Amino acid sequence: MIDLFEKIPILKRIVTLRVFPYLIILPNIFFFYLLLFAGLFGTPVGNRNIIVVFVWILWWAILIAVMVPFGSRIWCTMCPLPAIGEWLQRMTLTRVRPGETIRGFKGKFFGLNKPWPKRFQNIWLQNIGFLILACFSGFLVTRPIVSVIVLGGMIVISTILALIYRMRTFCMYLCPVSGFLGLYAMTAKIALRRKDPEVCKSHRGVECYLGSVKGYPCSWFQNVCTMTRNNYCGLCFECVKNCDAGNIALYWRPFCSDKEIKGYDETWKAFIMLGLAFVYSVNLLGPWGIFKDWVNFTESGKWLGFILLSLAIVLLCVAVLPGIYWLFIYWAKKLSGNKEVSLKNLFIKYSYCLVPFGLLAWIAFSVPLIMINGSYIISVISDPFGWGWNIFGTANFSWKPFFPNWVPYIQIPLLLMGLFYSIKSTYEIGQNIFSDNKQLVRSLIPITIFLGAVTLVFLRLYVG
Amino acid sequence: MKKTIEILIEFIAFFALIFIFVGLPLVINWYDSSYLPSRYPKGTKIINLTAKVSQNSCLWTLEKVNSFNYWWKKFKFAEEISVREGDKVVFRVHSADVLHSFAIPRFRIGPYEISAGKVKEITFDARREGSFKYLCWLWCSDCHGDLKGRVIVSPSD
Ligand code: SF4
Ligand code: SF4
Ligand SMILES: [Cu+2]
Repeated sequence: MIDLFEKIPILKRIVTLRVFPYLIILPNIFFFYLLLFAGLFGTPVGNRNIIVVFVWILWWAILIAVMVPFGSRIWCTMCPLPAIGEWLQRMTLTRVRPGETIRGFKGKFFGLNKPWPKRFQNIWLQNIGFLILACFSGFLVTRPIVSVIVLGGMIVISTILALIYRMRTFCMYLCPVSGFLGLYAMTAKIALRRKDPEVCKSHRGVECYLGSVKGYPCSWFQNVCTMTRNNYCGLCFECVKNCDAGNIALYWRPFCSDKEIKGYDETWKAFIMLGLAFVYSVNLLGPWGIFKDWVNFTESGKWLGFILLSLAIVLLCVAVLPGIYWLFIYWAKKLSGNKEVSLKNLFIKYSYCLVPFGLLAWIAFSVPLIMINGSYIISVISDPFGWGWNIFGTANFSWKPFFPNWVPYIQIPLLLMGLFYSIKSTYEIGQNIFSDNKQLVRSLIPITIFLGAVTLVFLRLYVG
Repeated sequence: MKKTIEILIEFIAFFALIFIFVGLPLVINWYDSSYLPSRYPKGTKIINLTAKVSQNSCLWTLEKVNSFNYWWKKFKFAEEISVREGDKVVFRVHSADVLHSFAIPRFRIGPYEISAGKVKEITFDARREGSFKYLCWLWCSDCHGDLKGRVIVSPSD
């Protein structure tokens, strides 16, 4: 593990600047504003409107293939959606306003600063939101106005919530993107952690968590002194500003270093993401025509078909896939011969086996997405609103997919890499569950079969 | 001193935001309605024409169709497009949804394909006076037959 702050001192200098998050949020505000403008006043044709092409093709692909696996939640550092709410809470864009204390947190905050209800302090609402969005994804990618409603809605809701509830309540518990960012951030190369636990122990103030004159309290309610996972750290770097002892590091570490899934909400997130990776692959690339209707259903008027298919997809993600997985877990427990390990524990802990594979399945899915739609990206840059502009002369660029028959040769290694990391991680997780190595290996047999089967399904889809 | 700098930065940050919010629409508008038209020869008449299909009604309209008003607005049918004899005309033909085409047969213009979300520019010299049919030339939807109107060339005075 390398500490990037030590290796590249300028990096630490930059992230501890008071203007830092603002500086990288600003260009994104500019972009999202442009996108929303296009979504309202540009052409109604999805693949000719920059909001659809940039958000659902380019942004999504970069997010999943680059930002999350390498940068953890680095998107949340620069995300423009909750920025307005956060600035309103703080009543400043770049400064710290010390002085008051609200529920132990230091800093002057505008708004009611209520705590979010305990019952909802999990990612179930995010899971539900993500599934709903997924059902309407056909609209999202064809109707720019729907993207405006979703993105604009997120800005409005996050701003209102920021005035009622404290700090990043929206991001923690509601943002539909957040759940998947958190889950897959566990695999990321970078991680923000405290360096020496002894330094934390001898230091009573916990400024990293509670805030100081140099920085705000952690808006994500994470105490970096005890934080062991990437899931809910939004990489805002306030804690780095707060820590006088310089005890916070930004590690560059092996892939899939966080391995602990906590609770059913996260487990189900893993099911939902894998299920949807499958559904979208069938939808866009697979041979089955009905799914195409699902996306185009308003044109074909098949409302009933839409509802049935959406139900089928939700069921697949929340019941069928978990059911199959449960059978294999049951088998794993039986085969291991261990009586002490509870089924629930094994079910939750081993569900991490879906995480590396799920992420790589999504990456494999986005390869042809970019290849096929590359021409739209290039032409929409010159004509963002479909008004007949030609800023860079590429508006009429026509694209022959680059070596389209190479796509499977990129996808196969990606899927196999997912399989490898999944099995490897499950083995390492198992070491903490089973003390007997024989039991551990036996418990892995069903999991390996399960993962192998899932891999075959995806290979079949992509390679045919 | 440090405090003054902080406040200064805060001010700059604030005005940068305002600048984006106000400036971006202004720049877009300037580019579209001043800069781009200025590149045609002086006196060119620019006509934006959009073909639209929805709920089994097809129409050509001179009004702006965008992603927002597409769903609810009742657009005026461009039954007649008036120009004067001798006008240099540029038709900028848009399609708001599916593949259409555009032709003025008696002037031997087109048919040109108008793909969804793209704009086709067609120059046209109004040499003769009269009333000339323009239409969509390919079967685009069930109401395709409605996609026709007239270009009226009135005498120059
Ligand atoms: S959680 Fe969602 S809204 Fe919040 S910063 Fe991340 S992506 Fe943006
Ligand atoms: S632990 Fe909290 S304060 Fe530190 S970077 Fe992560 S979200 Fe920000
Ligand atoms: Cu037609």
